[in-house]
Amino acid sequence: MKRAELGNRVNERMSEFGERIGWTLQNVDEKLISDFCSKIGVKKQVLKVWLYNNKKKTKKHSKYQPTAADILPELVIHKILSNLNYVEASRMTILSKTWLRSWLTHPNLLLVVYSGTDEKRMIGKIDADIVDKIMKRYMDEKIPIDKFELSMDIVTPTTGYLFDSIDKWLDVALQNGQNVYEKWC
Amino acid sequence: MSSSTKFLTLKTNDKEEFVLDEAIAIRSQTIKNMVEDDCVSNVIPLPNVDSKTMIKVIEYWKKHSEEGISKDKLMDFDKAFVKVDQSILYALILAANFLNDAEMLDMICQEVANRIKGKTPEEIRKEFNIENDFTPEEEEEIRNENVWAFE
Repeated sequence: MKRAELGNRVNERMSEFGERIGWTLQNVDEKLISDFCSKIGVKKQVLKVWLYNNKKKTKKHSKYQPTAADILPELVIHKILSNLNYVEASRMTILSKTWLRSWLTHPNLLLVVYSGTDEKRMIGKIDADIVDKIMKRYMDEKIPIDKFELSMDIVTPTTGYLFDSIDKWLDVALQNGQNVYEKWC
Repeated sequence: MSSSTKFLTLKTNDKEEFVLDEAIAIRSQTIKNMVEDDCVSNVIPLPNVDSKTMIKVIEYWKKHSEEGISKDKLMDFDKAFVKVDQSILYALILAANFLNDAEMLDMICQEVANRIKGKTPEEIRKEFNIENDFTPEEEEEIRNENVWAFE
C-alpha cells in the first residue's frame, strides 16, 4: 500500500495503536500486531515505518514522552488534577511522565494569583511570574485551553503593573481557547 | 410513558451477561450512542469491563435511577460506593471512562483526588501503582522548575 493511500482513519488508528504500545513494535505480541494490521489493512512493514516516522512528530509535542504504560488515560488524570488546587496538582508532575504530560497540557486553567505574603502559597495560590511562565508555555506549544479562569487576590491596590501582564495572559487564553473568565476578589 | 420496557443484554469481557432496562443502561453515553445509531444487535459487548466491576456499575446506575430518591440518600450511597480498595477504584475509573458516564467518572476522580491530598509522591506512587519512569536527573529538573510547588 502506498503512503498516499493511507486514509485519515487509518492514520488515526495507527496513532492510537502507537500510543498504546509505546511507538515501537519491539517486544510487542506478534498476534496483537498481525490482528491490528489485518483489521486496518496495512502491512506490518508499513506500520513499522509509519510508527518510526510519527514517533518523532509526537515527541516534538512535549519533552517528556511517557515510556511506561500508565494505567490511567490522560483524560482521566486531567479530571483528577481538576479536583486539586494548583499547587497540589503541580506536585503530581513528579509521579511519572504520564502525570507530568497530563499536567502540562491540562485544558482547564484556573489560576488564583496573589501579590501578597508567602503563606498564601499554602492554599494553592501562585504569583504572577509563575502565571507568566505557564501562559508562555501554552502559547509556544499551542496547547488548547477549554476553560480559563483568573482570580486575583490582591491585598494592596498598588499593583498597576499587573494590568499589562493580565492583558497578555488573556490574549493567550483567547487565542488558544474559548471560555475566559476573570474574577476580582 | 412507553408501553413496554426495553431490555439490553450487556456482555463483559469474562463472558458474563447482564440484562438491563435500556433506560438505565443509557446512563452510559457509549451505550446510548450505540442504541441511537441503531447498531445494537442482541448483545452489547463490553470488552474493557469485567463482571465484578460491572456489578458495581449497575448497582450505581440502579441507585441513581431510583425515582424520588433524596439527594442526601444518594450522597450517602456515593460515599459508601467509593470506599473500596484502590484496585477496584481503578477498575471503576476505567469502566466509567469506557462507558462514558461523566457523572460517575467525576465522582470517582474526586475520590482519587481526596486520597492523594496530603500524601508524598512516594506514598501516592505506591498506593496507586504508578511507575516512576523519570531518571534521577529528570526528576531533579522537574523539582527545580517547580520549586515553589515543592517548598
